[in-house]
Amino acid sequence: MGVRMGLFVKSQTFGALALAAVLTATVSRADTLDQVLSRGVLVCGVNIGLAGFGLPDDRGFWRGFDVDYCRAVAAAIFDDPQKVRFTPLSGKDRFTALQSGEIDLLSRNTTWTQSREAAQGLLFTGINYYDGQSFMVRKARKLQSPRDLKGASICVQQGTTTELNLADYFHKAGISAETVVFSGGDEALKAYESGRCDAYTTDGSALYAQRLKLAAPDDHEVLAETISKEPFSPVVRQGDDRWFNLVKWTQFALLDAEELGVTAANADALRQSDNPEIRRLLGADNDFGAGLGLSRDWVVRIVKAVGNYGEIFSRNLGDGSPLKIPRGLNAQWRDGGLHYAPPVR
Amino acid sequence: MTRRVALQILLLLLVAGLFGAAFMNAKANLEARNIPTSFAFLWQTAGFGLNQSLIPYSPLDSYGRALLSGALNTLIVSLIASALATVFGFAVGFARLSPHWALARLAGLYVESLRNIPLLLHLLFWYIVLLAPLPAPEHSVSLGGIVLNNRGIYFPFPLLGWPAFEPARNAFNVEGGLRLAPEAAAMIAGLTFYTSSYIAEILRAGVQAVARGQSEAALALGLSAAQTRKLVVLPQALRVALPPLVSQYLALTKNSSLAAFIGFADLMQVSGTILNQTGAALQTLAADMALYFGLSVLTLALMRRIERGSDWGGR
Repeated sequence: MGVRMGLFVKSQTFGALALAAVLTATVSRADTLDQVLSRGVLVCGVNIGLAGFGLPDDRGFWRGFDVDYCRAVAAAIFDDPQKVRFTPLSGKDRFTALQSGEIDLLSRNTTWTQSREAAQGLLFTGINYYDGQSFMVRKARKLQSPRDLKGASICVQQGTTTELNLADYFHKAGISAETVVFSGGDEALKAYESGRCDAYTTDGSALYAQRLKLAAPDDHEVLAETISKEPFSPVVRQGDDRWFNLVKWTQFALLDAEELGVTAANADALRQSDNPEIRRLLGADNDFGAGLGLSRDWVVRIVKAVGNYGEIFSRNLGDGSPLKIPRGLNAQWRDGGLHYAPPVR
Repeated sequence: MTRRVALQILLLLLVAGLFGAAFMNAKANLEARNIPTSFAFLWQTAGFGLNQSLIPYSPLDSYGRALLSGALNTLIVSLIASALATVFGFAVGFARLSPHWALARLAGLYVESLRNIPLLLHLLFWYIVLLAPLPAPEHSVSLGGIVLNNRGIYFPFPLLGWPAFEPARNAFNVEGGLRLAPEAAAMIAGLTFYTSSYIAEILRAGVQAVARGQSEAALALGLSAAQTRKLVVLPQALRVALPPLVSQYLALTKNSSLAAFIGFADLMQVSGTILNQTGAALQTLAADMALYFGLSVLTLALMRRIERGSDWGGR
C-alpha cells in the first residue's frame, strides 16, 4: 500500500510541478517585496510539524528555528515580527506552493541540492542549518563513530537517500552491518527501542526530536559524526533579485549580530558602541538598509524581534530547548563551525 | 460463422489497440518529464543492503538481483506460512466439528477472534510479542549449538552459499549459521494464524457439504469412525474445499506484501526502495505484478499436481 501511495504521490507531484512551471511564467515577474508591503503581511511556508523547526504550541503560536527566520524577515520589513501568515506545507507540496506564488518565502528544513536550483526554478538563499544523516545509539555502548557499528543491526526508515547513504558509508569504511528497513519512521524507532537494532539512523535534527519520544531519552545519544550532507536553506523563486537579496542579508545579519555580540537585549544600546563594525551593522552612521528596500535600522529591528542566530538556535534547538542539539557544524567559524557571514559594509 | 469470427477478431484488436495507445501515451508523458521508461535500471547497482536474502546479495549487486531476492523472500515465507496455516486450519476445523462441546466452542472462538482482526495488526502484534521477551545478543541463549536472541534464531547449518558453521559472536551480533530473523518469524506467525482461521472454515464447509448418508452408510458397512472420516468423508470434503483453499494460498502470498511495516525485506519492500531511488515507478510496479503473477501461477500448478496425484482429486 505504501508503494502504491508513493506512486500516487509521485505522479501528483510531477503533475503539480508541470502546472507550477506554467504558472511561474506568469507570477515570477511581480516584485515580491511590493506585494508583501501592499498585503501588509509576509506569507511564509513552514513545516507542518517538526519539533524545533516549525510546530504550533498548545496556544496555536508557531515556534521553531525556521519559523523565527520568517519572523526575522517580517521584522526587517514591517518592524513587527508578528506580521507573518504561516502556511504549513508537506514535503511534496512545498515547492509547488512557492512556484505558484502562494507563499513569498519557504523556510522549512529544506536541503539545498543542485537539481532543485537547476531544474525547478528555485533559489536557495544561504545555508542556515548544516544537517546530515546521523545515528542514534545507546549511551552504554560508548561508541565514538558510526565506524564502530561493525556487525551491528541498524533500523532505518524507507526513504529517498537514507538507505543509500548508509550502504555507501559502510562500503567506503569497508565494514558490514545489518540494515532493517521499515516503511514508517515510528515503526523503525520502536524496533530500535525494543533492542532489535543497535542504532537508528535518519537526519540528525530529526534524531534529536525523535529521541525525546523514547521512554528513557537519556539512555540514548546521537553520534556527532554525520554520513551525508544535508544543508538546509530558505528558498525563494528565481527572477526576483531584490527579494533574494533581502532574505539572504537578513540571514547574514543574524549571523553577523551573533559574531559581534549584538543580542535582542543590547541591540538598542549598542548603537552607541564605539566599535565601527557594530555601528555599521546597526546603521548608526550610514544607511545600509536602503539598497535592500529596508530601513536604516533594519538589523536592530531583526535582532530586537528574534535575537541573533545564536539566540534563535539556543531557543529552538540548543541548550534552551528540550532538543539540546550541540552547535557542532552550526557554530560560528571562529568556534570551529561553518557559519561565516559576509560583513555589512 | 465467419461473421462471428470477424467480430471476435475485431474485439481483440480493439482491446489490443486500447492497451497500445495507453502504453504509448504513458511513455510519451514520462519521457516529456525526464522519467526513465526502460527496464535498463534493473542492471544498475542497487547500492542498498538487505538483511535477509536466500541468494548471495550485497549492495554492489544490481536492482534486478535485489528484486529477485525480495521475490524469493516472499516465496519462502508464503510457502512456510501456507503449510503451517493448513496444519493449524485443519486441526481447528476438525475441532470445530467435534462432538465435544468445549473443544468445538474453543475452535469457534479461535476462528472468530483471528479472522476479525486486520492482518496488519496480526503482523505488528507478533513482531512485538516475539521481540519483547528475547534477550539482547550479549545475553544470547545457547542450546545444542542453536543460538537465540532478539536478532533471530541461529542454526549451525551449512547450506548453499551460507557463511554457515558455528554461530560466532562479534561486538553486536551473532554471525554465521542459518538465521531466522524476528521479522521473518513474525511474518510467518501472522500469516499462519490469520489464514488458518479461514482454512478452518473452508474445511468445516467441505466436511458439512458431504451428505450425511455417506458417513451413515460407511458406519453401517462396519467401518470405524476414524476409517469413515479418513476414507469416506475427507476425500469428498477436500474435493469441495480445494478451490477456496487454493484461493487462500494465493491471498496469503499477496497479503505478505504488508511486510514493510515490520521490516521484512519482501518483494514490495525491496521494490519500494528501488522505486524511491530510481523514480522508475511504472516499471517497478510492472515487475512486481509480473513476479506476483508468477508466484500465483506456480501455486496453481503445484495445487493441480497435488489434486491429480491424489485419489480424491480430479474427476
